[in-house]
This record gives sequence, structure tokens and C-alpha cells, in this order.
Amino acid sequence: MSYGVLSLAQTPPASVPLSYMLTAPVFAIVAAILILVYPESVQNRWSPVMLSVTHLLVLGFAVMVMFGAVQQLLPVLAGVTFNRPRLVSLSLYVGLIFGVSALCIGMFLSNASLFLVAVLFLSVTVAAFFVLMMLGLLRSEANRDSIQGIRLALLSFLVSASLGLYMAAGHSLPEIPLARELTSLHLTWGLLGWIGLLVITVSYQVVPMFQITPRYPKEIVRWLTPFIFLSLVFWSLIEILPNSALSVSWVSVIPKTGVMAGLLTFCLMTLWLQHKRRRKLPDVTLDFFRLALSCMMLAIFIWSLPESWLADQLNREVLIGALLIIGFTLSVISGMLYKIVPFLIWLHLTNQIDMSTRWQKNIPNMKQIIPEVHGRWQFRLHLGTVLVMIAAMYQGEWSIRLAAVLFLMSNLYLLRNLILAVVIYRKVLISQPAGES
Amino acid sequence: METDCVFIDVSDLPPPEPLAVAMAATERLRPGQYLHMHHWREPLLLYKRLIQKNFGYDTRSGQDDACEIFVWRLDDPAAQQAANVAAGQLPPWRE
Repeated sequence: MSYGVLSLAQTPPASVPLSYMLTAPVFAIVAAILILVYPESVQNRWSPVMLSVTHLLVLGFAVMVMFGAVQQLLPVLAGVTFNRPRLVSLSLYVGLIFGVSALCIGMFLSNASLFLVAVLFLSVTVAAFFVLMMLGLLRSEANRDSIQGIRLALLSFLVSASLGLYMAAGHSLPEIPLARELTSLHLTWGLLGWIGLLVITVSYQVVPMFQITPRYPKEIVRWLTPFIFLSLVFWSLIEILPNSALSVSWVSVIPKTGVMAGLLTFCLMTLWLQHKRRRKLPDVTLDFFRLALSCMMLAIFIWSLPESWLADQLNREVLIGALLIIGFTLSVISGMLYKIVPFLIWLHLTNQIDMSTRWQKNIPNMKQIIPEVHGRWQFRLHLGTVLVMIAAMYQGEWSIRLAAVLFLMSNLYLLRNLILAVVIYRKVLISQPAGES
Repeated sequence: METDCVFIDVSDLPPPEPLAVAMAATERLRPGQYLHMHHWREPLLLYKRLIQKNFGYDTRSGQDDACEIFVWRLDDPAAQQAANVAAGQLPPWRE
């Protein structure tokens, strides 16, 4: 019983997760502007603009939110405590912003010096984040299957980040070869390992809690993330050792099929649980989740098709990447933000304002902090982005521009919703009379 | 003085409603009464507030992995005894 109390005493201040969450849409807005200005670059995954856009979205948006969320989640979920949480958070935040900015500008301009700056900032930030979180998890007395998922996600993040940093160093230092052949492993560990495993693990908690669904079956909670992780390890061995016995064609298919089967199991199970939810009220987070899961399943379907079925191999890869990043990752994160941000604001307000005083009546509820109608407008814009984006793979530049405009509007709307939520938080705190807290 | 159980089922409520409902229910407890809260997960965020408000609590495992929380005022021995008897019929809480 005491661990819950201890963990809450160490919960970081509201500014910690909220700074990360409010910054994320800014990077997505920059990405949208780049696509709008250079629509022709989107068709080539190796173009400087496309590399820059991908990292703005994955590091600037997804990793930014996940860094903030993990720092908030671990104290509550795992009883993990951090010394000086505000200083830790600010250091990681600054390191991530400088690192991502230098990396993306470096990619856009093909500037070796900026790659070096990015490598320095990101390697220190990633290493610090990994060590702090892993040490916290190792010290944690909580023995839960969800903690295991976070550990595996963190390990995947380390693998992906290390591969990425090595490739970035290859762009800036002549002694280090440019190892482009590592790109697919870097992508796989980042998108399916770090993001995939973390989304799955967080969903085990968030889906039943916020969407009032039955719980995930215990067997899935226990075995799914280790199964996907081991499949990724096996997959990597085949990629690293192309001439070994593992590379026999029928053997090499096994781990890829394992990863796809694992992700498909998660998608179908989540959709089934959401179908069984006990309160069938409209919920924008639910719609974001369903869109995300549909995009993941479509990506898996396209991925499983023989490569010869789709004429243009580059477009196939770009389409799978777009479905996984914008369709799955950004959808699921946006949906969670509409629960996590109002909940955190409500929680921190009630922590600061004594609930027994008359002033508690002034604490807004979740739907007042971000009204459903505004989340729904952003969802419509995001849905439009995804649909036009899929069409854009087979159409000309005009549809790419349209997708970029919708994506820009969607993220401006998300930013507006999050800023107004923080404005409400500040207003309630400022209007609280002295002596009420 | 009466010894009585106030039962609330918050298992169908999304956060933060279980916390708000539970805190409101504890404020309304009369002498001799204890609160029995039925939930599907351990309400970690509730514990700190209960301690601040001078309440005691005991968390037990219910049917189908449910979480049953018993809450009483620390300055109310009759309520505490009644809560302990009710909680004692259930096994200790295990994740």
C-alpha cells in the first residue's frame, strides 16, 4: 500500500509532461510545411526532405510525447522515483529539442557539421533517458507484466537510436562508414520495437481504464510483447548475418511473420475489446485508436503482399512508412493526448487545491478542459490527412499538397486544443484565493 | 450511532470519476459507517488523499480479479472494526 503513496509523492510537476506534449505538434507543423513546399520529395524515401520529415514526426512528435509520458507514467505505474524530476526533465527536453532540430536541419541541408551536433545532443540525451528509466525500473518493486513491456520498449529504443546515431555519425565523420544498409533495422526497431511495444504496453492500461472495456487477456499481456521482441531479435540476426543458415528463405520468413502476427493480434484484440466496451458513448480517443489500428492492419496487409504485386517498390515502402508513422503512431498518440492531458491537468489541480474546500467546485472536469467537439474537429482533419495521403501515393503533387494542408491544419488544431487546456489550468490556479490550497 | 456499509461501484467509470466519487462518498460517511468501493484496478491515486484526510483503508481481492477497497475514518473505531470484519472475508489484494 505504501508504494502507491511514495510514488505519488515523486510524481513530477505538471510542467514536465505538458512541456513535451505541447512541443510535439510544433515539429509536426514544420513537417507539414516541408511537405507542402516540396511535395515532389515525398515519393523518394532517401530524399533530404523525406528524411527530415520522417525524423520530425518520429523524434519531434512521437518520441517527444513518449519521453514526457514515460516520466509521468513510471512513478504511478511502477513506483519509479527520480531525484530532482524537474531538472532531469528540463535537461532531457532541451537535449531532445536541440538534437532533433540539428538532425532535421542537417538532413534537409545535407550538412555534416549539423549531423555532428545532432549526434552529440541525441547520444547524450538518449543515453541519459535510457539509463535513468532502466535504473528506475530495475529498482522498482512493482512486478507487473506492463513493466516488462516498458523495459523491452526501452531496449528497442536503445537499439534503434544507436543504429541511427551510428548512421548520422557516418554522415559527419570520415572515419565512420555511411552504413545505409542498417536503415531497415533502425526503422524496424524504432517503429515496431520502441513505438509498437510502448503503445501495446500503455494500451493494456489505458484502453480498459479510459474506454471502459474488459481487460486484455492475461496470456496476451504476459506473452505478446516478449514474443514480438524476440521475433525482432531473430529478424535482426538474419539481416546482420546474410550468409548464415538463418538466411534460408523459409527460415527468414518466420520472424517477420511473427512480428506481423503479434501486431495483428494486438490490433484485433483491441478492436474486439473496444466493441465490448460497457459505455457506448461517443469518444474521440476511441475513433483515433480505431483509425490507428486500421492503418496498422493495412500496413501489415501491404507488407505481406509479394513485392512484385506492387509495381513501384519505393512507393510501397513510402506508403507502409506513412501508414505506420502518420496513420498509426500519430493517431494513437493524438488520441491518448485527449485523455492524458485533461487527466493530468485535473490531477494536478486536485493535488494543489484541497478537495474538501469549497474551491474544489471550481476544478473543471475532463470534458471542460478539452471539449469533445474540438477533439473531434481535429480527428476529422487527421482522418482526411490519412485518406488523402493514401490516395496521394497514386496521384500527382496536388493530392500530396492537399494532404500536407490537412496535416498542417490538424496539428495547428491539436496545438490550439492543448494550449487552451493549459490556459484553463493556469486560470484556475491563479484564481484560487490564498489559503485555499 | 450505527454500523453500516456504504457500497459504491466505480468499475464502469472512466478516470477521474472513480477518485472524485470515492472522495465525495468518504466525506459523507456518518459515525460508524465505512465505505466499500468496488473497482477493477487498484486506486493508487486515492490512497494519498485518504491518508491526508485521516482515513484508513484496506485493499482486498474480489471475484473476477476485482479490487475491493474498504475505507474508514481513523477516529471511528466502530467503523474500523466493521470494515475489518468485512474486509477479512476476502483474500489480500494481489495484482
